[in-house]
Amino acid sequence: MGIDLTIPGDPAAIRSLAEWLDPKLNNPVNDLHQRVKTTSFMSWDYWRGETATAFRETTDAIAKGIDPVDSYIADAAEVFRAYSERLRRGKEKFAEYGESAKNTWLTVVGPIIAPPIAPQQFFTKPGSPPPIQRGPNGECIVQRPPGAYEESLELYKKIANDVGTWWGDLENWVDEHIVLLMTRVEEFQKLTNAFAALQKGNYVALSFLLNRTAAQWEGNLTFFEGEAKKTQGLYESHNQRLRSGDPRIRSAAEKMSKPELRAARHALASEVGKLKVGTKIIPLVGPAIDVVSGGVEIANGGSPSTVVVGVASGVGGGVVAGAVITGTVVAAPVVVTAVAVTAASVAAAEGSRWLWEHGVSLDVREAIDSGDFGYIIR
Amino acid sequence: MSGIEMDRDSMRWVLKKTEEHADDVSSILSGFSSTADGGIASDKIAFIVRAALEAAQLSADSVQGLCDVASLAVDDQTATESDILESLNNFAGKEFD
Repeated sequence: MGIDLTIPGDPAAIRSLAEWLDPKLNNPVNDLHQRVKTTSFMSWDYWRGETATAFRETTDAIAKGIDPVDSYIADAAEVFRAYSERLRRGKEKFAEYGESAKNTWLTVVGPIIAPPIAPQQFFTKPGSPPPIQRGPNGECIVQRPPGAYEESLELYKKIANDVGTWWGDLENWVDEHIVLLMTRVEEFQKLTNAFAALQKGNYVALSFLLNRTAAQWEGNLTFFEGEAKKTQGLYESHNQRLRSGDPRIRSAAEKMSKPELRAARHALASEVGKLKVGTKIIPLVGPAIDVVSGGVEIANGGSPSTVVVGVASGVGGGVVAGAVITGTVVAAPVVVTAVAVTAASVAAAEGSRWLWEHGVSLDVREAIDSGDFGYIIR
Repeated sequence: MSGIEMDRDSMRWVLKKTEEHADDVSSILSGFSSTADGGIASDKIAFIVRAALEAAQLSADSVQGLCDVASLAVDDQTATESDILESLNNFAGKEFD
């Protein structure tokens, strides 16, 4: 029981990850894209004939395939930076809650604020002081002044409500920004097509490409995914405990989202949880059958996620159908449910909110919204 | 069957520069390392990072494959139009528009 003020996550490490993505990775990817376009252009001077035309067609197709990669990486970095700042600000705010709870006669043990305990009642003669209370070692316990209990109870209720609201708001934010990025893996379709076409009947390229399928970063990424899977499980149970700790937290968090969004969210968590560590999202040769078949099952109504597909079909049906039927997007079930979450989340959001978001980066907009001007000018 | 009309030295230089850019991407990718605790979005962040890394690697690999085929045309003096076309004729479809 009580209010747990823990906010899992490491803002500094998430920020470092964002910095690695952009500019460290994004700049060379962007340079590569520009270079491929330049290569096609320059080849006009040095190479003529039918083969030259085929070369330029190939080069242009690959350039189009690479085109969305740098903006995806940049957007992911922007969202991760904003997320890290949300967590940092949240941790600071929750620490203030802990301090104010201590100063208002509430007991705070570690990250937990214990519910206020009603004062003991004594019957004494009018005008005489209450008896001195002593602790287990005989120490004198300071009496709370009149009204302190009521004040601490009010603060406790307010903190429970604010904590619940903060979590509800964070979950909505994750849907609108992080889940949205998951749905965008379909942007890599042209790149997949270009790569597949390059391999088709092409023994020169194939012999080389097959040797490169085991990339050096795979081991480190697999370790990262393994850790993420472990912590995800811990945090899901943390959130359940938090909400069962005080009903005010649950109701405040649930006021922030509709039941259908919560259902879609639950289905997405389940689908992401099914992904094995090391599962490839973008296929090198053909679709990854084991994952795609799950999507077909959903489409046929054989999965609990059907209701989610129903939600998605209202807004993103075309995208969903494309993903499931063609089977070209490997992580189809995850993408389907991610689209559903995004669709439900967009339907719930105010339209105007989506219109002003271009031009100012997400982390800076969020800092402005939170009055954190120190972040903007540093 | 006809020969290939090409300024080989210049084209070799163009492809070498392009390959260097692909290598730059692969080299940065090989340095990936993170243990960032993403809190309640841990698994979603891992999904997005994988998508980004795979897409970047696929970009570098595609360019490297392209350069390999083109280098064959540049360096193999006996290669003919039809030999090279066999490797580069898959990109005329509308899916690449």
